Amino acid sequence: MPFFLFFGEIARMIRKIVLPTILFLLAYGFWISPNFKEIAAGVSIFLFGMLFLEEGFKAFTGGLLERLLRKTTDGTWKAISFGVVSTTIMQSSSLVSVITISFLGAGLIGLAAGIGIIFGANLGTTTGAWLIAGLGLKVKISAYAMPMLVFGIIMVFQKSRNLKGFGYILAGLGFLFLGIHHMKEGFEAFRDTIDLTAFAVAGYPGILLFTLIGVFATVVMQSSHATLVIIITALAAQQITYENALALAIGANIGTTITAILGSMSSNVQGKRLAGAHLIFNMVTAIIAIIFLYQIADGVDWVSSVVGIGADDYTLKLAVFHTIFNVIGILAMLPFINTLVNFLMQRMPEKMISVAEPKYLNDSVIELPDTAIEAVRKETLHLYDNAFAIIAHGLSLHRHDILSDKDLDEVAAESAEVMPIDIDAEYEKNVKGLYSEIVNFTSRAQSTMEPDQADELFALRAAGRDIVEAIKDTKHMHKNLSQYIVSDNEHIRAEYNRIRSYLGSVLRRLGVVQQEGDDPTSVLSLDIIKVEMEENDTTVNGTLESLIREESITPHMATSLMNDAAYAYDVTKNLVQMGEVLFATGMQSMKDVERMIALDDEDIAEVLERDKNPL
Amino acid sequence: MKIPKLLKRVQEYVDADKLKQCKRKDCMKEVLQKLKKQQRALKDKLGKEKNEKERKRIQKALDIIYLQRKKGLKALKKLQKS
Repeated sequence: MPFFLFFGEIARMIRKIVLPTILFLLAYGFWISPNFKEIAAGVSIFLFGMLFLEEGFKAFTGGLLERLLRKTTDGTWKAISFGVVSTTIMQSSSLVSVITISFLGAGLIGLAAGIGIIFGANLGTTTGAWLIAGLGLKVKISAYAMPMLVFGIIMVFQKSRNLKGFGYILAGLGFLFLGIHHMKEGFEAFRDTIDLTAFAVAGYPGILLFTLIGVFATVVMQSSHATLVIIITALAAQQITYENALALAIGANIGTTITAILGSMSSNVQGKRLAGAHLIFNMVTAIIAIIFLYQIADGVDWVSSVVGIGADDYTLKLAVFHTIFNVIGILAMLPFINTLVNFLMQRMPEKMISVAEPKYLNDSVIELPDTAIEAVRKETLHLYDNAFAIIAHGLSLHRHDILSDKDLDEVAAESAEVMPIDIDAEYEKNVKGLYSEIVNFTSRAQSTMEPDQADELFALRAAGRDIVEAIKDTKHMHKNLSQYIVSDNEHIRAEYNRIRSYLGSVLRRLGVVQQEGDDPTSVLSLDIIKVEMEENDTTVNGTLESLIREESITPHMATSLMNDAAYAYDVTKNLVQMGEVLFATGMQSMKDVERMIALDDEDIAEVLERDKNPL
Repeated sequence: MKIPKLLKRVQEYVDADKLKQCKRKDCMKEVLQKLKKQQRALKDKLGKEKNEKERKRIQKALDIIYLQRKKGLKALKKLQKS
């Protein structure tokens, strides 16, 4: 996308120039002012805490968050609420937007729901300002930070994934508190030596200047929370004016979108659309807030007096302002969500592709193990959809006939026309590239996974291999099948039509199981196919012998039928194996249980025996 | 909640393997219940069905569910013991 390439170039250039400059300025600042050093160290500790917090929440982004997402994002208001709540808990809108982008990239949620979450995340992030202004400055939070750090770090060293996650969160919060404490101390000491309010600029030039400073600070620190903490602590120490603080908060809101834009660089077009929506929303909100800054400030005064916030309690008033202007943004943009979705879809269309490309695999999901597994599952389903068309046409059957209620024996007998298909070419075009991408992605993704998760990933990769094998077996069958379904010999025609009808019924049943994904017993119903597969094996059930004995078919036909029946058997076996893995959804424990119960070769032999000798 | 019970819950949550076993146990119970329902429904259907081909098909499905439940109950016992 030219728009994002342009952004990418700018981001790369900025990174090249800005980093050395910042390092130099910081070093100079530390040399001339120990207080500045304390503030900067406070910011660093705060950011370190954010990293810990993110690491901790990643431990919990597994199945739970995904299940929550599915249930809570089917409506705009639900999506917004999810955004508000998750950001309030995680205290990082950047993390929520990056996770949302990866969920969108993996196809777990739609664009409208993603936009809803982003709107909500913007509101949720304002709770940070409340916490810092209301709690961080009023209570001596460094006293809480120390025990949190100690308990947190002890938990980090534990084996249990959950305990480790809790440990990271607790230590992360400890570092956040410690960071705030140092910033507060630094600004208070700073007040005695230098008065930064001397640099305050009044009126609209000041608003624009400080908005830009807010954007810059947030882009550098990659956290609007860190910018807000600096603003609030500086405001509390009376180092910036209230008016300039409001402008800085608006800037922080714009700056935070940069994280989402950078996060979307490695995502697919869906992720880029969401980052675009984030940028548009925050820009519109910022423009409204800048234009009506004084009116909103009056509103803040009114709200503050109503809820009992003192007229000179500027830090809490800043939190009120932050919340109000984000609420205004949501109210202003909410009626246009669908327009926004259409606009983004038009401006960032999906690429028209001649060769099948992955829809769900992208680097933005690779960091979140459970999301990565879900993305691989969806991509393998995509592979199966492509394979389904090849196998169906290879059998000279229409997909709509397979998926209908029609009697497949009749369909096979009536549609005695060979469908022209080059299975090799179709395989190269619609399967091979996709399968290679799945193999490549799973190899990269498994390095960050727990053994259980890696096992699931390998099972999915094996399902992909089963699909490819099924296509290859269909290809081997195709030549004879095309010849014999139009043969004058009614016996061989009937046998090949039986293979077609049988494989059509296997595809149909797989379709039903795929539709009933939520029912855990649905995958178990594939065991019926396993039993039927053995019963239908023409090579061992006596049909072939009688056809040869009665000279209904030539020996040449018989060998062809023997080979092709074996191929049909393999196609079925591969597809059932694939279905057992691919169509099993839900919790890992449920999948484990399904695999425990599914019948093995010995069990199938027992069922066949019972069938022959009923009780 | 009483303290020993609470401690047991915490212990289960903290011990990843134990938590996994617990989840599997619950899932197994759920699947077994659903299979039992299906088994009953199929038995009813078999009782009413006159068509021999269809009866055979239902009987086969019943045989499969019977074996699945047998395997499931055996696995559940093992899970409960561990």
